[in-house]
Amino acid sequence: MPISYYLALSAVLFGLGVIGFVFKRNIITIFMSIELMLNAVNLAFIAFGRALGQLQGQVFVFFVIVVAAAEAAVGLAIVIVIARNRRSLNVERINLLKL
Amino acid sequence: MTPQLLIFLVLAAIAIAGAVNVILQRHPIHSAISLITVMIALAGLFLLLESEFIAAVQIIVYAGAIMVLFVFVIMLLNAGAEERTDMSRMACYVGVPLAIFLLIELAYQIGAATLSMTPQPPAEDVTRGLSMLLFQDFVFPFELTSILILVAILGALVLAQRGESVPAKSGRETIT
Amino acid sequence: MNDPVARSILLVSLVKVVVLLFLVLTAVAYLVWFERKVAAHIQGRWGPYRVGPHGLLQPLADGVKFLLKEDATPAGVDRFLYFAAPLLTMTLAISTIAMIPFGPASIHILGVATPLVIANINVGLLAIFAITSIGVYGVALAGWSSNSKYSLLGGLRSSAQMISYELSLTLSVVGIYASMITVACLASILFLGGWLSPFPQTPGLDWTRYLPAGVLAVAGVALIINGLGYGNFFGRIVLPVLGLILFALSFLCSRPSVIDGIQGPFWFLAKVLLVLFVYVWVRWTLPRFRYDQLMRFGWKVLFPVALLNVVLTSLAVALRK
Repeated sequence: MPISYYLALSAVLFGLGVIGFVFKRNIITIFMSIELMLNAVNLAFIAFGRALGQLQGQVFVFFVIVVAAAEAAVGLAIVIVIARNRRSLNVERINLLKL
Repeated sequence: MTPQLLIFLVLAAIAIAGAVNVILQRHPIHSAISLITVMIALAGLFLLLESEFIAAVQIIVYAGAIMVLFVFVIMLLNAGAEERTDMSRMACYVGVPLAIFLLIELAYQIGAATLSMTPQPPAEDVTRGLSMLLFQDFVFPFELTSILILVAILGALVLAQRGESVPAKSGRETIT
Repeated sequence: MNDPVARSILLVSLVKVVVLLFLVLTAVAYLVWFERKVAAHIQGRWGPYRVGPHGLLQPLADGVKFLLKEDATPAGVDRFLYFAAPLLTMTLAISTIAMIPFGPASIHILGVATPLVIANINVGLLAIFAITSIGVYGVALAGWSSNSKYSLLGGLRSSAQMISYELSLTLSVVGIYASMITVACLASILFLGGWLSPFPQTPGLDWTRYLPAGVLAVAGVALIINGLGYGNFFGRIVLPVLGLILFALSFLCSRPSVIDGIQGPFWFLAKVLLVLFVYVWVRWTLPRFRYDQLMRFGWKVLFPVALLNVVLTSLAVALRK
């Protein structure tokens, strides 16, 4: 079974993540789209690692997951602060810096 | 059709359906659950690629910890369904074409690629080799990530702490 | 699939799944009976006595009752999640049983040597932890989907608690699997970490108080979910039992090498029952933690101790080399 199937799936998931990132209005869902993209990249890493018979790909995925955990903690804290101050999760309304 | 291909197709279908559902659902909780489905399907794919350890970590950390954080925040903020607004000009003229272009481009490039699997050492050696890599070759980045996580915890604490000046929210309102 | 050997392996696996599922479900029902009996005797009561001799048919009656109960759906619930959440908990809890080895050796059925475990996978323990970590959603979503703020609070509280205990539980097992030797001086620490964590975390076997601090009423996922859903929360009973099984397997020195084969499951069962009895004993003798005390204990006592345990064990292993 060729590895390119996995890569194609990874690309599709990444694309869907981008679409979610662009289209969604809720800041939490936008954040989730980013996680979706990270997941897609993880799949590509593992698939490449498998194709080359090397383990470095898995190590990278490990680090990506750790960084994603840290990012989620800080990002969600920011979301909480925004929700508390602006009373809204809609990114359209978070426009203080907009011209 | 080999069993592997069949399993792959099923898991891929679940993953894509979940990812589409993340976008289509309007309530963040439903999006979150769809995303969890995607993550579990991906863990299944990792198993298919013979990386059991990463599959377990994917479920424990991603689905079991990070997404729990999302679900908690959604519940605590009592986030409601997303408001429908007109698509911004930016999204309409730049975002959509770019996203579609990205999908087509990636699919095209990957379709052209021919990479086949090379045989891998037996599964026990994979986990062992992974730990060797993590704790010998990559030990410095590994230690750095622990500092990163510590900083992230402190940052989250400082950010989310309710200051004295901000009055507590009264009642249970739905934030959209 | 036309290969006769492959077919009989498939058949044997299927048989194992069905038999184990039946055994586990029955056993769980009787574990509830067991806890009610032990608890009653600790308090100088008789416990279930009416249905069957010594109340032995009580689990059956309870099951019928839960199945026949009117399944009222409150207004404004999130329908899909409301029904999916209990199912999720149940499914996950039961599927973890597949990774538990019931004895050291393999047995011969239909000419096929088969190990006494359904899924013999490489990272079995990690897989169990992975599946139980998903179990948090069952509780949290059940609370949220009920559209009641008390259910929501209860769900959030118990899932927060599950997460904080999972941490030190997982860490406490690391020690023993890192060394595979029971260092005498560490045994006590191991016990503290691995033994105490399931205590307050687990809701107990009796489903009338299956959530922590259930009596405080605010902890009420159970407040709304009832009927069949409640019965499905059976899963919440399987999980603590699973924790105890893991404990028995990890901490009570396993593999009596003299006794092998079909007697493996016997020793397995004996160990699990022993652990279970002590668990029930402690639960019904000592007072229950309040929620805040429990969280503080989890994060400020158990977690550091578990970390210390990991460090000390790895030190011991390193020094031994």
